[in-house]
Amino acid sequence: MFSAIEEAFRLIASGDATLNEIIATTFKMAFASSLTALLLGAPLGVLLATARFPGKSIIVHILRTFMGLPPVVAGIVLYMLFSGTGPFGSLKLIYSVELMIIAQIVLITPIVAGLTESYASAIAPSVLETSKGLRLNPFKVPLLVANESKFQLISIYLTGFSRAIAEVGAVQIVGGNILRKTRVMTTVIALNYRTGQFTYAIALGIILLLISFAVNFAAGMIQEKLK
Amino acid sequence: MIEIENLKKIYAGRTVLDIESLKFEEGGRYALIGANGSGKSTLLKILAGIIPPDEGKVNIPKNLKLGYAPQKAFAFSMSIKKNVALACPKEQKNRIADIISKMGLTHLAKKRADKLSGGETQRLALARLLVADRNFILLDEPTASMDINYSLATEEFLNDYINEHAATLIIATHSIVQAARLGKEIIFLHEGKVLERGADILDNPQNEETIKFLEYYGKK
Repeated sequence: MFSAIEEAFRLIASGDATLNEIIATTFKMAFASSLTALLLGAPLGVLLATARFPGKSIIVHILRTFMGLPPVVAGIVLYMLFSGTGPFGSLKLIYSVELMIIAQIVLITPIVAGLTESYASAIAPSVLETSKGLRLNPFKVPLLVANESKFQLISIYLTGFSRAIAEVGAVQIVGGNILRKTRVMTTVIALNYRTGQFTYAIALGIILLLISFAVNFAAGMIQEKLK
Repeated sequence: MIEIENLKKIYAGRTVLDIESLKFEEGGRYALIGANGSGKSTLLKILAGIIPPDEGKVNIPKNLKLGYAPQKAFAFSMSIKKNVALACPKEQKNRIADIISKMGLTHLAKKRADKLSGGETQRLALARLLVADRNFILLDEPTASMDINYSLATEEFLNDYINEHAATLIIATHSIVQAARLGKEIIFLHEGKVLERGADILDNPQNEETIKFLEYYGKK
């Protein structure tokens, strides 16, 4: 284990170009997918928490079910859709970072929407009652609920980001772990495990955790400011 | 005229409000009194359109500009000034500082409203409600968390506002003295029903339940 820690710091200090490229791809995929999932999922969660319409509870149940969507299943479905013979094969997205981002969006958006809905549902009745009492424009209500949820939205975003940066099943299938193209930290860790290079794999895992720690720390500072 | 007919509200199989007929004159001042669970808050919520009745009709003239402050005042997590501005019509923004001052909140105007005490939050809720011109005001225990000085000052401000706007006031309160000061007519609710109403029921109650209630709250 100590040798893995030593290896991790040696790798960071070495400034290895391949490693830097893998870290950059990992960042690109995790940030792009988690931010998109936040932009899609948070409004959806807020709307589900504030709107009343028939079939709402069914939608919420479906959403919560998709929070547990197995990444490998999502990966296989996307592979079938985007591979050469699939209906979207002409887009030539298979084995690309873009499709890895799409896969992560599919996996994370329900998580972001479900967690947002869960929190916003608790705050929405007070916001609705106050807004109605003041005869505010009803379109302001979702914005007010979102504003009341901003602290939690950062935590929810972090949950999505952590899922994106640590996920391996879907990105392996749709990305193919191609060096200098779609290789990310988790797929390279899995590759090193398969080739028996455990120390190197754990060292990469430690680097992944350090990246995650840095992002969490930055988000924590933003949350402190919002308190 | 604000009219209620055959109104019923049922929660979990229990009828919490059952009013055959109730009328409020425009420009009138009404105080709803009654024990916890008597239906005061439910009645106000139905009048405010917060919750729908299970049965019956509520007729509120369209010209009335309604404003309702719930029992548990909620402050948005933004400054007091922004909270008040949220409910203030664009052309009346000059009123914001004035009403914040009248509610004794000037020194806190830039403070986050969700960090206020219960009494301060109630003062903010009233400032936010009354920064706009309203002529149908529904208040649910508006001074319950305030100390005596702020409570009296708020009542005075409410009196002035209601006179100035020729507004209809319906206030739910546990305070018999507040009901007497703000309400020209008192409505006593018990287990969801209106048992007695009138200008002098605090001094001359006829119903047994009203007498019991007033005795408990120290009026008789």
